[in-house]
Amino acid sequence: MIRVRNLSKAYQTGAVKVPVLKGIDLSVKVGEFVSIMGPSGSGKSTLLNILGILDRYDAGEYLLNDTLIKPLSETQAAQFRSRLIGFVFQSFNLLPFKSAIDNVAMPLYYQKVPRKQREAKARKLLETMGLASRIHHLPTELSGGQRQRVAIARALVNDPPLILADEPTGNLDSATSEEVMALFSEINREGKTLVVITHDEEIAERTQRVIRLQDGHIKNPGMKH
Amino acid sequence: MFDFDRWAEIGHTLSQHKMRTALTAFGVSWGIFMLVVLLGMGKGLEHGIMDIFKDSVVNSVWIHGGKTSVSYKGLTPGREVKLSIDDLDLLGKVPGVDLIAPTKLLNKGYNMQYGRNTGSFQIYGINAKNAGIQKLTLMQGRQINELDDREFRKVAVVGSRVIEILMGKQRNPIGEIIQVAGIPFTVVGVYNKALEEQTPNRFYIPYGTLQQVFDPSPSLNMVSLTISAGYTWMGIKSEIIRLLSRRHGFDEKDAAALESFDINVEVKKLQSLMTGVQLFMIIVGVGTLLAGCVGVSNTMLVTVKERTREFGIRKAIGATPSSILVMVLQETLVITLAAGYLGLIAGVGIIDLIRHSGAKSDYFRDPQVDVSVALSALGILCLAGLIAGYLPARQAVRILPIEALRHE
Ligand SMILES: Nc1ncnc2c1ncn2[C@@H]1O[C@H](COP(=O)(O)OP(=O)(O)O)[C@@H](O)[C@H]1O
Ligand SMILES: [Mg+2]
Repeated sequence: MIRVRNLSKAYQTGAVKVPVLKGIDLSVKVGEFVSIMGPSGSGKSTLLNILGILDRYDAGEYLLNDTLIKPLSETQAAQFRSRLIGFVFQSFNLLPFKSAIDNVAMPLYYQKVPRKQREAKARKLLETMGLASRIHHLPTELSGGQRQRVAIARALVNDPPLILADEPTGNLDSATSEEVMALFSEINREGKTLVVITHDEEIAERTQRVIRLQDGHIKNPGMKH
Repeated sequence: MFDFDRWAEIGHTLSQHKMRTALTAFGVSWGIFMLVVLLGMGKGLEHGIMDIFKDSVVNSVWIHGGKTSVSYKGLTPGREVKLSIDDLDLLGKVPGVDLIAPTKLLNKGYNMQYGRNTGSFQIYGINAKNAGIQKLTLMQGRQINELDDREFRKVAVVGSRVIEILMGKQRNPIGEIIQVAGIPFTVVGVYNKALEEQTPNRFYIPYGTLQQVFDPSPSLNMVSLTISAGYTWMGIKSEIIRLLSRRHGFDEKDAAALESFDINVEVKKLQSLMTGVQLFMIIVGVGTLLAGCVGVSNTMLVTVKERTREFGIRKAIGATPSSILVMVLQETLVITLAAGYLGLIAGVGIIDLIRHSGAKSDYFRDPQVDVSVALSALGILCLAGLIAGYLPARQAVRILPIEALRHE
């Protein structure tokens, strides 16, 4: 599903270029459930954003489903994001003026799915996430955990084979975190590939493989924990 | 083309951002409203001015006697120059003079009576040729004709106000007889507009009749004439003054001795006034439009900047850059058209109200909306909004989603 070779990325901060990823080699097979761990500032989010085609990289190679991602136009990138990737942001990134159900249904809108089907699908997803009574609430009317679940539902709604989640449990209490991880395991059993960033060893332990990132390098390339 | 889903999405976005929508809409509505009202009032001004000379032959001239201001052959200044009926024959022979007609105003008011109603109105003596120079705008009946004059008929063309006072409104006045100082005059025409008169309250009778019945003196208040094709008043004026100065004894160069009023010059003056007014309207209109454009563009610019993050989210979940661009442009179009339409309706409504209220004066009547101008203005506003939305939006959708998401 994912193949990354010698990938590097630096941020331009003023006059200096700060390297963040310094030659990452990584592959994730279809159906795998992988977690990324590492200290704050080690480049986890940067890596995940590149995997989600939200950001560019400087050198190396990233192949998604055997397509080299580097030279994509924004239109092509949008199509890849739409068909292949569901992204769960740490800060949710919900549209503030849209209700939970409308937020969840948005990716389907861009896939030109008819309105009725969109709403039915979004409603079903929200119901399985225990948000049946909140579907018409605006994000500001929801708790952190509820927003996170809406964001996850949005990532799942167009049934992408790859789910990327940046600290999906970072804002949740342990009970809710449990539920979210159970949900992810369930999704994984259905055959989807998941890459999840986490700080929590317990959560990482529930995945099939932990990738440890430190100072822009992977400490345990390709190893199973 | 008609994609209901897309319009629903736009409707939702607009209704969820009421302030933003209202601000843009207000700018457009106000601009179009002002434009429509201004141009409509300008049209009213134009109609009013054009109406003044509606019934005048364009190449007509009026001559009044004045007062001498310099001594002439031992005569002291300050003498009144009185034009006379005999001057018509003299001036009529000048090459370039076409029609020539007298106007005599009786300076004494006469008591007029119809049934039990009475009133006092000014009596003017004119002849058939007057109609060829300065028409009275008739509501009913006919003008004074040649036979009236030749046969000293006791007929009159009277102002509608005179009829109103003497007869009320209900009766057909044509053929009715009004007693003027005990002498019966038959009404043959009713006019509602004469030059330089606010309310139509004059009593016109044939010149011959006036001379025979009221005042046999040959003096006239005014001589009106038209200029033949190929001549101008400027070209023949000196010859006419020379002839009159010899007959009436004043210095040819004495500008105060005669007053002349060349309608051609007046019409030209008013036409240049009109051009001025129209120019002013265009400037104000273009100004209003520019202000509208700046308003719309500015709101679009700010709006697009504010929405960078939203665009980032939309792209992250699969929106193509072009779908976002189209969305922004359609939103602009919807706001501008709807708001412009409202402004147009309000403007047309106000102008209609003014027209139907019958507001008019010498320089104003029948304001009128030029819808095609208003629609072009709306088109320009749409274009301004589209350009102002398109350029920054294209910029905003080009940046990487992750950068857009970092935008606050
Ligand atoms: N937009 C940016 N501009 C400059 N530096 C950045 C930017 N985003 C992240 N960084 C830097 O890159 C490093 C890695 O960041 P990040 O990938 O967010 O780490 P993590 O998610 O592991 O905490 C950090 O030092 C951070 O300060
Ligand atoms: Mg991070």
